[in-house]
Amino acid sequence: MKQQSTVIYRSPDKITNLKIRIRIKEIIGGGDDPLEEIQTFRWQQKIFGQFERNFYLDRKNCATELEKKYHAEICKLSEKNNVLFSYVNEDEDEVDKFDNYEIMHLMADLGDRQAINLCTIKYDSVQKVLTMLPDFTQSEPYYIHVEGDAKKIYEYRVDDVSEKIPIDSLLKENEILDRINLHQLKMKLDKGYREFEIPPKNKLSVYLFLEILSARNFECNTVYVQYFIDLPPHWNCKNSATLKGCTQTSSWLNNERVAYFGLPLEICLEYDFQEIREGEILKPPSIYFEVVSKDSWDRFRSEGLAYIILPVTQAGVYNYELRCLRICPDGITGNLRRCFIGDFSNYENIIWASISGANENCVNRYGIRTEGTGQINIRIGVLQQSQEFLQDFASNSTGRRRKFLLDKLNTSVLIKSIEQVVAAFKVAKRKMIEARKNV
Amino acid sequence: MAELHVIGEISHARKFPKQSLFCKWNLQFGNNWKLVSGKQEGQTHVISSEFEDDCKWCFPIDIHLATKGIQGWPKIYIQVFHLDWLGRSHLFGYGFILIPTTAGQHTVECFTWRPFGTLRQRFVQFFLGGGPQLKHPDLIISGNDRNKLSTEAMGIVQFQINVIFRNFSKFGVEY
Repeated sequence: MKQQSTVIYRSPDKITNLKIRIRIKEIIGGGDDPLEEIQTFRWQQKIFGQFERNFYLDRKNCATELEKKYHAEICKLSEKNNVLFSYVNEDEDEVDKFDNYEIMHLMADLGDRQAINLCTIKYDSVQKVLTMLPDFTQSEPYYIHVEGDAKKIYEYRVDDVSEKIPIDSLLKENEILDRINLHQLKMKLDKGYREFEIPPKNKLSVYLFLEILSARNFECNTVYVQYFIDLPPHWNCKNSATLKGCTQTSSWLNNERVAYFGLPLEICLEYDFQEIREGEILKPPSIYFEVVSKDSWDRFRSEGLAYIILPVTQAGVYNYELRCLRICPDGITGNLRRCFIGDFSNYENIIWASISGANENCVNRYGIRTEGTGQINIRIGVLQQSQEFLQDFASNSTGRRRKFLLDKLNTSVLIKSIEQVVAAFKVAKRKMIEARKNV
Repeated sequence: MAELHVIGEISHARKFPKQSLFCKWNLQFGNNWKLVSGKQEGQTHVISSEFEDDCKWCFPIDIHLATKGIQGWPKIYIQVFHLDWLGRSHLFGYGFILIPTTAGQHTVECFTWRPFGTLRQRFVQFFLGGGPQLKHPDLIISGNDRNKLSTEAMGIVQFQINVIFRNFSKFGVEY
């Protein structure tokens, strides 16, 4: 015999549409006239069994409202000899009734007062979940073995005979549902989000997503990192507070000598390329890092300096592992000072660390003693936005070529100069009008 | 308006001092952004691995966002907890990652840390567990005197994230 298992169906449709047909057939032990019966049940349709019929027919057995109702119904019915019958939700004991559940048992009365459960169906009207034991018959029918005077075997099938929606209605329904879903998505997307922030003309916005991840192999085990962004001419930042900052203090206790920061920062820079002359090269900003150690007496010491030129010219995600160096203090007093008081920011200007600090023909660092220390890990995500790219996108929307930033920006040198002339003309015109008024 | 899909998983945790870890996460974004569909926050199951140090969660993330500006780019904020044999959960780390700013698949490592208490707090923590927690962890991103907060390195949580951009090029954004 096949193992019966409970199945769960989810259906948004009305449960009243459900129709189940049971077909029972005696295959062994039936003799010449084997039992065969087919019955279709609607949801919560009460069909009386042989025993119930006899029981409720006697008025004396009927006390409750339900029993009286059944008595009236049975009196109206003609005499019938059916095997298949049902117990509906109303027949359930109060104890078994659940709040949202409706239950229905499909039964067979196979003589000898044996009512056998063929199928139990439970419906949760809130969750719209239908639970069945066993499932609708697939290929093999289910068997019932009845042990008695003579061994009898029955087979039965449970079939779903609910009226199906015509195929064209179904298609139509699906189409409507699709349209509703699409519309809802559109509504969500559209709601006040038609516009998008675009930088003004002749401006390039560069969004930097800086993550200071970790620091490793530093001498002291409690460190923090501070950063500072140096902006060359033509660059500016609306929120200049983001141009410098620091991480939390982190210490390591394990043997790996790594301090974790995992600090994400968002910095928006703006580049004005109106001023750029033909042939001039964009000067990218640089970022400087200083690793500072903090000991148990709250003495701060500079542990390392590092810098990179920000990768503003090409969008992407960049990972850096920066090796740091620190400037050794001068002479014995400097060393004692570092040891007992701490030295913090012991440089004149951190820009010294990069090449842009040099203003002469050669970068001269003669006489400065330094020491290599640990490394810091940085990740920078870069996004660029400009109206120039907008035109670029519109002009060849099918295959966008990767061009270098300067090429993209320089295409509009002529346009820019015309715009400058027009702007200058407007200013002159206004001045002229004002001058005339005074006359 | 541009759209961003973030599809991926919280893959696993490693280098934490103990096993039996679970992770609460939520996605944070600025005013320009709006959640179109998907769950913005969640919590993984508790996991302890028998044979290796990695705690694998494989917790799925699938978020669809719409935006009218780049500012306030979404971040994932996580809290890792350790569940001990008495059923108490102890904070094992805060961490932040930024959703990668290029399209495609990314393996992102989140370095987590937890506040490092005073000597007395650490003494209590050693015997009873627990330890100091942050009242407003979000202030870590916005505040500026972060160096006054002492923390200790805990472990690494690894994410697998796929990012899909839509309509960003239409507004002159290069990614």
